[in-house]
Amino acid sequence: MTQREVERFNDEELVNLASQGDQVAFSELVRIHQHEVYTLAVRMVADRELAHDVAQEAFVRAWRAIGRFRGDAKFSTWMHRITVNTAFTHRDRRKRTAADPLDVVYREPESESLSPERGGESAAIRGPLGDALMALPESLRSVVILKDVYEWSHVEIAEHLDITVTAAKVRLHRARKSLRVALWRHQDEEVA
Amino acid sequence: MNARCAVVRMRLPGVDSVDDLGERLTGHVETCLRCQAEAARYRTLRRRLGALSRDLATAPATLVPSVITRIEIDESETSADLRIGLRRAAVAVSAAAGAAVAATAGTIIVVGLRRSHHAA
Repeated sequence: MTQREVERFNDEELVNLASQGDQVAFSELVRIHQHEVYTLAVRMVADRELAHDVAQEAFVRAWRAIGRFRGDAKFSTWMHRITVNTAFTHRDRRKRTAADPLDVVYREPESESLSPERGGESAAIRGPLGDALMALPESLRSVVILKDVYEWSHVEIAEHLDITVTAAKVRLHRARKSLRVALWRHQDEEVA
Repeated sequence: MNARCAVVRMRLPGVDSVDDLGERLTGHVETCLRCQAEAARYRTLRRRLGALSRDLATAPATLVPSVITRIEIDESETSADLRIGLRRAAVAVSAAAGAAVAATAGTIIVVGLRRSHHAA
């Protein structure tokens, strides 16, 4: 299958071809979904370089598992799940690495690695809401992103984050409250 | 701000709609301008967060090529593993066949020797 031929196919047809081992079809799926997967990865890990690694790893995992993709969800939904799992694997790996005092010293601050000068964009991550999201602790940020941006249920979030449904609800509550304070702080100060 | 306002403020971050606050608190919000303003802020927050799903960052140009390279390496390693596996299987089969031939030959020799011993 050539690149020009696969460009005519939709996701479902590309997934069918890819599950039979067609690398060109899978490359087309990567090309189509790269921005979506990368955006989710940036939102989960709040670091562009790490998000690149997470997105790359997520696609490689998807290629290895594409034969088991049942097609009862959209490819993009399936990719979201793989990306979230990959992001958490990388986070755990980074936590273990950060236990080394030298790594702690040289670790780039999250806000700096997302600075517009370095990344060159984007409203998807920057802006008052993007800044407020990135300023949240990772445990709160992941829950509010999955619930309010990607419309996951509390049960799905709890399963993927390996927490209880109650913990997911508590984290969502805290995250929304923090975002509300961050976004309307000036208004509140004026009223006071 | 009265006690009900405080309860509404405490519970608003956890609900997706004012209706989820329960009849009594929903009724209070309908008559309290401060609580309506607070509920509107959370509604705006949820709407703006929802809108982020359509707002994509641009992936670095290196992402697609790096994925394709990783997959090609993965595939070549898999086929190399498969080739090594097949080669090992072939060696094992020929070793087993050699052992079987040797065992059969040994048996024939032993039986032949016993027969000649009995005949003598």
